[in-house]
Amino acid sequence: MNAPKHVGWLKDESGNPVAGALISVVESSVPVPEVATRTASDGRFVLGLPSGTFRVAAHLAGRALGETSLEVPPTPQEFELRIVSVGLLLTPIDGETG
Amino acid sequence: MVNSATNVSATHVTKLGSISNLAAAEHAALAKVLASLPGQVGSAGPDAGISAAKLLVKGRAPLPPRRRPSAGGLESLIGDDERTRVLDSSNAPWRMICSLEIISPQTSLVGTGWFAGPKTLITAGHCVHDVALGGWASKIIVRPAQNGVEEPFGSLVATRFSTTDRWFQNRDPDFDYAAIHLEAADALPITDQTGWFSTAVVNDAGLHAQRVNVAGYPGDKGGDTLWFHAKQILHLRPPRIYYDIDTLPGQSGAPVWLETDSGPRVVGIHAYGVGASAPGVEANSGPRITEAVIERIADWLTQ
Repeated sequence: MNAPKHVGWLKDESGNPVAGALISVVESSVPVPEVATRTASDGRFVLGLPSGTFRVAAHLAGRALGETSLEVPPTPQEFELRIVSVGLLLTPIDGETG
Repeated sequence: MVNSATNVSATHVTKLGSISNLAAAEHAALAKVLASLPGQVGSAGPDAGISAAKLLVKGRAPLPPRRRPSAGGLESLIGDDERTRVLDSSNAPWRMICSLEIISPQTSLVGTGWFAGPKTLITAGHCVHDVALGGWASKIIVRPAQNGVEEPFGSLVATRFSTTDRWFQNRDPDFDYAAIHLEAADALPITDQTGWFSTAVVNDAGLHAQRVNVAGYPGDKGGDTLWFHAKQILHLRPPRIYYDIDTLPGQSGAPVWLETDSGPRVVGIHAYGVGASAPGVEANSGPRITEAVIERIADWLTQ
């Protein structure tokens, strides 16, 4: 089961990083280990996911911040999750994965 | 620090042939515990708390599986979310379950583990080693019976881990289990109070339609509070157990246990949401306790 590293950043509506939030895959088309990933002080988090379709949720101290769909290609990618009024807004980022 | 990947052969539990159509009484007659490791009741407080008496289930429940409302992918919440928070986590058996704060080279994660011996926790393999996240965890902070800001037994820091070759080399979900080794001087005063789970190999007839219990630390609840659910086993394969139980990320490594007249018996290690189901089965799952698994755990208990 191959699962490349994908890097994301969680930001609030103003674009500030959200630290300490937990990112979870709550729906998936392929097998995914059931661990939750915590965002760092700069909002950065890493997901080891195979290619597939996922629904990703963010929570902070047990409070739901939002959910979004995530299409993951077979190669590593970077993306930003921005908290908006209706959930999470996903924006792919071009460039090399850090 | 010596982290290790240890070989586990693919030996399987004794098969009893095609038993899926047998009546419940016939299953019970064929039920057999093939091997076990002893647990120990801890010395802290009453043996079982109020929530244990209310929540824990045992026996068979030949009910149809719940239907999922989602029209999209496969969700780890099967139908309505039926998880219940455990507020008296310092009572048995909850106090044998720990939140895990996993510091890996690339990120930090939340998971669950359970005491299988006086200085050994069992968890999912991906909680201690994930090649996508930089390999071995740098360290894991273990908090037995954590209940929000309360840490009734304090915390322990672990840096020694073991997993199976099949997880380490191939990320094989059927072999996705591991041990967290604790320093004896730190762990023994805690496990004397918490106790540890008994682990058992039970044959297909003994597990068929049995209701099992799962409790862990899901991330959607902050990863610091213990949540429980129990429903029946839906499907069995020699290396894997599938159940109709709600879980979410953060609960990887949680014990899947049978309540018996002799106390809890762990028969599986939760690791995956329904995305890892067998064909035609909508269920969460994890590696099953087989004779090979119990031999490996017994070896880990000595390390």
